[in-house]
This record gives sequence, C-alpha cells and structure tokens, in this order.
Amino acid sequence: MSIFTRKRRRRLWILLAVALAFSACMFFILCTLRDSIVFYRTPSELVGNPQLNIPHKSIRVGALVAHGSLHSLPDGRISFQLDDGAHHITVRYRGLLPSLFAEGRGAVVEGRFHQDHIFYATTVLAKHDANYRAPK
Amino acid sequence: MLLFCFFLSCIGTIAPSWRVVCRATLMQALLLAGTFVWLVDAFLTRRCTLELVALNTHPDEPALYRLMGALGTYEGSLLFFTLLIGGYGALYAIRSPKETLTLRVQNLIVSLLLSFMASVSNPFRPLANSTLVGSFNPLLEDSAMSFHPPLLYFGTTGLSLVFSITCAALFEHWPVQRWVERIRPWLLLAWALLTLGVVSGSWWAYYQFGWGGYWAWDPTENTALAPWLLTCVLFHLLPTIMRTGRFWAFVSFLGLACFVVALLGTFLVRSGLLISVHAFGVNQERTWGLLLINAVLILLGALAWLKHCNQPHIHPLVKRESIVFLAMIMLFVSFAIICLGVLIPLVAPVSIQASFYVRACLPFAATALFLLPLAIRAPQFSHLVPFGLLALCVALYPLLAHTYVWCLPLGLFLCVWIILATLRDCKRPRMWGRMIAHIGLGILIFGITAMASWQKEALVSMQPGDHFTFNGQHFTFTKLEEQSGEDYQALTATITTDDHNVFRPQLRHFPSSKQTTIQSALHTSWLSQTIIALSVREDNQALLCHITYNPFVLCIWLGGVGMACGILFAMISRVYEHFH
Repeated sequence: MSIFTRKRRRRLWILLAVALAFSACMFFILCTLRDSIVFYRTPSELVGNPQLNIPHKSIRVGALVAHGSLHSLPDGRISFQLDDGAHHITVRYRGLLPSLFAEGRGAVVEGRFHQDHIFYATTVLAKHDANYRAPK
Repeated sequence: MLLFCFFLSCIGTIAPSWRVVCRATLMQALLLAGTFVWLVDAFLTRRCTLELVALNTHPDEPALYRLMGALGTYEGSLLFFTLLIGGYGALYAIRSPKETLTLRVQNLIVSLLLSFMASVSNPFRPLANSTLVGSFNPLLEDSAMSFHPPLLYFGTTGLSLVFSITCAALFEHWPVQRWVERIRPWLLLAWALLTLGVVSGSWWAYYQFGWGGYWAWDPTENTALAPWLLTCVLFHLLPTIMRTGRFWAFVSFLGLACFVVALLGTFLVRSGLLISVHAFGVNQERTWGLLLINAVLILLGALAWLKHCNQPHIHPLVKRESIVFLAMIMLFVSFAIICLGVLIPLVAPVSIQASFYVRACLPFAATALFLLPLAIRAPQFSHLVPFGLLALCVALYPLLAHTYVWCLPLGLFLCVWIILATLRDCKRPRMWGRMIAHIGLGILIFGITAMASWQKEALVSMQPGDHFTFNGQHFTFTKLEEQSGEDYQALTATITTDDHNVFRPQLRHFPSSKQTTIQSALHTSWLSQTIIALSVREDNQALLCHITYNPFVLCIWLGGVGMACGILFAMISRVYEHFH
C-alpha cells in the first residue's frame, strides 16, 4: 500500500501518458515514412531483376545519359537512354529538362515502368559535377 | 600567415591569463581578415599563380562573380567561415570581458578549422600546371549568390558562439541567469541572420528553374532548416529557464546541439554523401576532416553536458510556460522528423519523397502554431474567444465557395488566429519585436497555404505566332531572337499578354563551360507572380514553355523577412535598454 504514494501514482500516470504519446507519434511517423520511401536503383539492377519493377510503385534510377540517345517524340515528350556501362533503360519525360542535363552527364530520374518496358519519368534531376567550377 | 593564425589560436586556447587570451583572439581575427582580403584580391586581379584562383576564374567573367568565387569555392568558403568564427570571438572579447573559457572554446574551434585548412585544404596552394583554365559555375552567376551564402555563413558561425558560451557555462557551473543574459543577444543575432539566409535561399530556388520551387525538402534545405528549428526552440525556452531554472539539461543540450547540427549538416551536403540539386563546392575525400572536427566538438559538448549540475528549481511552472514548453516539444519532434528523413538515405539505397516531410511534420508544427496565441495570451484565455471564432469563420469560407482543398481551411485558420492574437501586443512597445516576428510568421503561413491550394501550372509546346490561354489570360508568342551577353549567347523569346505585359524568358549558353542555363521571366501583380521558363526541342525548333501562376507567393518572403526584422528588433531594443 505504501509503495503507491500519491506522488508516485501521479508520476506513473505521467510516464504512461508520455510513453503512449511517444509510441503513437512513432507509429504515425513510421507509417508516413513507409509510404514515401523511393528505392534508388541502377539500370543493371533493374534489367537483371524484373521482380524489382513493382507496378505503380515509384522508383529512382541514376546513371549517365547515353550519347546520341536524346531526342524529341512527335507527342512532345523527350526520350533518352540511361546507361551505367553494362545495361541501359529508355526513359520518356514530358517537361523542361534541368539546366545541367546533357548527354554524357549523370542524371537521376523518378517515375515508374509501364508494360512496354519504358520508364515514364515524373521528375528528372541532373547530377551536378562534384566540383564547384563549371565542368569542362 | 595561416600558420601564424594557427599559432595565435593555439595561444588563445591554452594561455593562462585573460589578457593573453583576449589579445590573441583580437590579433587572430585581424590576421584572418587580412588573409581573406588577400584571397579576394587574388580573385579580383586573377592572380593565376594560385591553383584555386586559376581553376575558378575566367577572363571574361564579371568582377562581382569573381569576388563571389572567393566565397563560393570550397577552400575560400572555409577560410571565410573560419574568419567569421574568429570575428565573433573578437566581438565577444570586446563586449563581455573576463570570460576566458568562452574565448578558449571559440579559439579551439578556430584552431581546429585552421589545422584542417593548412593540412589538406589550403586556399593558397601554388599552381603546378600553368595551362589550366577554369571558370565559375554559370548556374551560380546570379545576384543572389552575393547575399545568400554570406548570410547563411554569418548565421551558422554565430551559433559557434552559442556553443562556446554554453560550454563555458556548463564547465564553470554558471548560474542560469548569467548564461541567459550572455547568450541572448548572440542567439538572436545568429537566428535573425540564419532566417534571412534561409529565406533568401528559398527565393533563389524559387526563381531559378529546376531547383524545385521555394521549398523542395532537398537535403541542403533540410540541413539549413534543422539548426533554425533548434535555435527557435532554444530561444523560446529562455524566459522559462531564466525564471524557473527548469529544463536546464534540455536547454543546455540545445545550446550545444545548434552549432554541432549546423556543422554536421555542412559535412553531409559537402561530402557528396547526399544527392542534392543545389550546386556548391563538394569534395569527397577532404571533407572527412570536417567530420573529425565535428567529432571533437561533440566530445567536448558531451563532456560539458555530462558535467552539468541540476539548477535549483526556483519557481513552479505557470500556465504560459507549460504551453510554450509543449509547443517547443512539438517543434523538436519536427526537427527529429527532418533529421530522420535526411539520415535514412545514408544507410539504405532509398530516397525520401518531399511529401513525407509535409505529412509527418504538419500535425506537430500545426499544433505548435495553434498553441502560439494561447501562450501569448495566457492565462486570460477568454480574450481569445472572439479571435478564434473569427478565424474559424474565415477558415470555413472556402467551403462555401466549394473549394475543397484540405490544407486551405487549416492554413487560413492558423494565420488569422496568430495575427489577430499577436496584434494585441501593439500597446506594449517592449513586445514589438515579438509582435513583428509573429505577424511575419502568420503572413508566411498565408503565402504557403495560398501556394499549396491555388497554384496553377501548364506545359505548352509552341512556335512564333502561336496563341494560348492560361489562367484566364491570352498569351501570344511574338518573336524569337538571338543576343549575346557578357560571357554567354542567349536565345530570347518574347511573349505578350492581352494587357501588354511582356515576358522575355531566355536560354543562355556559356561557351567557356559548354553549359546552358534557363533564365525564367516573371511578372508580378501585387503579391502574385506568373513565371515562364522555356527550352528548345531538338527537332523542329519549337519551344517547350513551362508557365506557372503563383498566387500570393511574395507573402512567403515578406513574412520571412518580417520574422527576421522582428528578431533583430528584439535584439536591438534589449541592447539599447541595457545601455540606457
């Protein structure tokens, strides 16, 4: 009886409430996190493992833009290939390309594969050179 | 010269008496300033015997950008950073005499940075191969380059003084009131400059096409926001700890963490470990030195923090203080969420979508904002009832207009609620700083809400002579012409609207670096803006044109600058009171 003094009981309740609030917050944050994680892949990983192409799930792909592959399609989209030396994928995108985007340079695209094995990008990011000065 | 500075900072760290430490600090600051002026001069006159200068300047480049090259390169920015930390130390030595330990910690930071600079990242390395010709990154040839990075440096380095003062307070067991008095002006100064730095960066990212708008939750932006949030939490807990002495463990932890988090963020984005769209000096190998410096500071901070004694609790918390504490815990949780999002890509091959930060932080940040008027008006909550009802009416208005965007009522409610509740401060001149800052916050919330709910964008493919309609306006693409600028070739399109507004978006090609940049054109009407950016299609010279309408977007920077002004006002008024 004497273990549960009024002060201790109050502390216990506070501790329980804090623990409950903390776990509720963690649960909420982790649920949100699960929905917004995008996996980062290279073309070789994607070509080798078709099971990585989960339909309707956004992924990011990073590689070099292949030389001579950048062209416009009649419907206004832009098409190019991402090549990591071993394999390549074809990417289509509708929108303005970022300032540093060019053939032979690194790029990161976010989007998803469709049935025709073409990657439809929603975002294209150009990887800038590791140096501050302009690339040669 | 750098070695001599290093020598002085070592003296400043270990010297026994106050007079020696103080003189070493002042001398070292002067010497660092001299060194930096020398580097700037080398950039301006293009003295190509230095490797750094030869690689980062081009003969055709305008002088302003050469000057910025001194700040923007990896080695140059590190020297500037060190100079500022030394400068803050010198200012502190003049303003608050006889605080040897604070200056020692400050000098220790300078000496660590200098030893790092002298060993692996010397800005004055002579050029080995004289055929190299470099140039400055044309993407950064922008007037914003002249104020955004310096402001951020000023803010971040100001936090170093907060770190040093807190270390000294913990080691020497200062009474908490003395710590608050010492730290307050420097914290406010650093916070105001950090706010301006973040706001100007947001403005630059907004009008530069391809950087994701005013806030894209990019790693660079997040690592600037994280110390800002910590500073905000720390500042708001100062009155509580001053009066009651409670939360000393948490508050002193914040005092140490601000600078450590800022430096850690610098390391993360500069080491290239995180992929960011923003360009700056990145150096994979040498940056590990920064991590080493950070480890030393964390060790020092941890030692000081573990030594801390419990401050006596003088008074129990009153209502206002409990509410402030709760709100600050909410902001601290937002900080933790941002850290989680930034750190996860380091351990797994994933990236975190921007929506994560919005969805995860929003409940916590919104709760903190909701509590703000309650904390200001506590304990007389009855004054708030009419404001709450009015804010609720404003928030429900869009539902009558059949606009069902979920964030609109929330944002409108918060902004009206905060602005009305803080306006009551206008009768108390002592509180004007707080009022201005919080009204700025309300305006900022309104800008963000308007952008999230009413922004419009379209992508149009067109040729000269074409017409299109966007947001109720008719646009005509009148002509396309080639021009040449100072160090670039430009392709300029002219697009006119019915009410004779002319847009001239450009594509600039820089022959010296073989790069093309997109210069968007914007038209401002009151607080809203319309922006047009364009790019050429490879095949038939038709243009692809990206057009956005940003309603009340200027509120974002108006509010941000208002917040910084409020913080500065609070600092200046308190210092003024102190001297009279």
